[in-house]
Amino acid sequence: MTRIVVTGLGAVSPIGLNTATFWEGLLAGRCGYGEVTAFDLTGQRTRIGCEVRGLDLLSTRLGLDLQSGRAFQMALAAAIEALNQAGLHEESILSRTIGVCLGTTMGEIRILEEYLEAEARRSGEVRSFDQYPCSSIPMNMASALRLKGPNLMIPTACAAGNYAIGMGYDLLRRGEADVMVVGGVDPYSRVAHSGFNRMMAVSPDVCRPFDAHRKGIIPGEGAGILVMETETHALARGAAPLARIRGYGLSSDAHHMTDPDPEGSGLARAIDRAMSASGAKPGEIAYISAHGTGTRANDQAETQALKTYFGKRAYDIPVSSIKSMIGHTMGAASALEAVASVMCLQAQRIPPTMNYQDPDPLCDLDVVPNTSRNLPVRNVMSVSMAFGGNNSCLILEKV
Amino acid sequence: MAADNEIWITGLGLVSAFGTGGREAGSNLSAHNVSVRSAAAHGESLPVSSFDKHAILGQKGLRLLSAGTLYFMAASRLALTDAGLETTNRKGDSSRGIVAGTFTANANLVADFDRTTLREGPAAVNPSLFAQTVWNGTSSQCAIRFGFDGPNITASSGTNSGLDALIVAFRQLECGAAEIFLAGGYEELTPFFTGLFNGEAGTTTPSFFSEGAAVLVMEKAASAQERAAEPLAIVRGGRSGFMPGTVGESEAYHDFRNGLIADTCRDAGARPETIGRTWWAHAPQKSEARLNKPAGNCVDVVSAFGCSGGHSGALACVLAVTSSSIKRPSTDLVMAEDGLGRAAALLLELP
Repeated sequence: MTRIVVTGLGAVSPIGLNTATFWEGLLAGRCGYGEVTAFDLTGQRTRIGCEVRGLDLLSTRLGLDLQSGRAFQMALAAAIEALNQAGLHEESILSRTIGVCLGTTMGEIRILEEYLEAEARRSGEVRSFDQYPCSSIPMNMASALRLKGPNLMIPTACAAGNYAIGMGYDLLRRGEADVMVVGGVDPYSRVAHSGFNRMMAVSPDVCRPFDAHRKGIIPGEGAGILVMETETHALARGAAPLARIRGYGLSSDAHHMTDPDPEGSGLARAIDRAMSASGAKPGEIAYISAHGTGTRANDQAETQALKTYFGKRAYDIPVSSIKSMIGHTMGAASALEAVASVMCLQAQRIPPTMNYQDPDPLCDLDVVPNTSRNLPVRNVMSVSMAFGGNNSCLILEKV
Repeated sequence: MAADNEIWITGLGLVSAFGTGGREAGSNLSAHNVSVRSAAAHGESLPVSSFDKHAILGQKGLRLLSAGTLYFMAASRLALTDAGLETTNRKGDSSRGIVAGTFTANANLVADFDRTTLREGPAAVNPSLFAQTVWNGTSSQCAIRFGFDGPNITASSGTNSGLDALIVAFRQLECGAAEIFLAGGYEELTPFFTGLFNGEAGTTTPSFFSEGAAVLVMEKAASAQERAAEPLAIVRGGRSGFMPGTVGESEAYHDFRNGLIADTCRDAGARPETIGRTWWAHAPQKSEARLNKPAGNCVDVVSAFGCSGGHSGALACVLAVTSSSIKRPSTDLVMAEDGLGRAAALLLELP
């Protein structure tokens, strides 16, 4: 069976503009909250978000065009980091088939929002509208990095990163690419901030997943990128695998556009598919990176799904949500969670669920409250759920 | 490949400016029984007309849905009926999935949502509309309506989106992710879509825009045979890719395209020279992005039926599958190219 490994990681997040800073921040319990600066907050129900600070400086340092879309800049910066770590530089890129598969919720939504602001003012210059379609992001990334190969955007909302990783995994196993650059990205958007607030799904202060007094998400932005290839290809060119992707599983709740199936049965099926596809056994999973958005409905349904699949063993597996620290980065969420999962396997340490004070009897698993923890970890499960009921599960293994 | 593992197309549904229905609607288009010449000559845009959403989808739950979502949902319902599948039975085993391809999704709805925020304040936006602003809103609405609880995927690759959706479904079926997929593309005729082609320097060669949705039922042969369904086509292979630094036709792009076709054929155990006809969906041809027709017997779908974004590639597949003008059995290629370096190819065996 063809084994797929991760050889590079890249992260642009509200707590760090590269993987090392991101990971250090997670272990330290650092939270990326601040007053939102992306747009005028007049009339908004909440004012707190998790924005990426310093992107202009990073983009300038990397020589990126500041007029390009924010999602593209974040994704490209993360991809450059990941490809560098993977040891894939210009010459080695040109001689290979390297595909790009990304996920997103809103794509370059800021381009549309700026266009509409100018429309409302009846004045003002706007950036090229060509950048708006979300498929422009992987295409422009491949153009900038001269990557020839499969090129696709999988905009499946908050689970998009895992979907993109899964699609990339399949392409590698089919031999349609030598290397795949995969992940997810989303910029901070007024549409998302307004929409989630109108649904009363946003916390006014912090995100406290699984806590009895949780009040919702904190919207965020960012990009998470992984470089994946077959183990054979990686070893042949002298690259050091960081982790192995054992398999993935997808499902749909087919229940409701915004509320998860309260029984968590859809996510449980995605977990079952991932475990079957990967050949992993429940006893092998040492840690679960949760979707853990901090809403009442999600955290409860997710807890139920884990109990449905693992039974009593669910109580023995630590489950934590990094959204407590970086907010809900939408299409980047499961990609950043995958980056963190690889780091867990590398460091043998797991991040905490921050802001946790009062246990909820309906979310009574070990949520790693407030302090990171050393833990022997051989296999990690990363789960994500999305608007529309899209569920995903990824299984990663230590190499 | 063992017969049970073959991937069949067993039904189709079409919502378009040229007709709405199952395989009969497709056959009408294939036979050019619709008049599009005047639209092409005048560079008009052709919207979907005579589309009775209630007749196809019933009365409830449609009010807040975007036009694109309604097109895709209706085409999905028509495809399920065409394939002899029930339309509301949730099996609860994740055996049925959806892949929807689109270039601009629900851009009009997203814009209206944000306009409301800007003009009237954030408290004025309708929370029920928010879930439709995400790119996967359409495929998810279909999953809920038809009880499809398997993989639910939205794919976007410019004007190749519809064909890429079919290729993604093919891969998912081959790896056993589900037994049946609804797969296809949709696009809504909005300034956000047409404006992507009119704003640049260079001439947009005669072509016109249209909109709609084309959805095909793709399934493992074993699944189809259980209910005695026959294949409209057998999907033999599919690949897509991007060649950076190429706009329009160049030697590098020509080599890339030929390589893509060769790889697709090799995956299928076929040879490029056995391809009977190529059904070609391309983006409107700007002067600097001009593509030449693929060699051989080629049907230019876009020049005949307009550029409909994510719908075009899936429509090309419908035309291939329903064409009565070719000698069968035939091995045909459905190809989508966007003129910016992206290409997709799907190889069909037409029994």
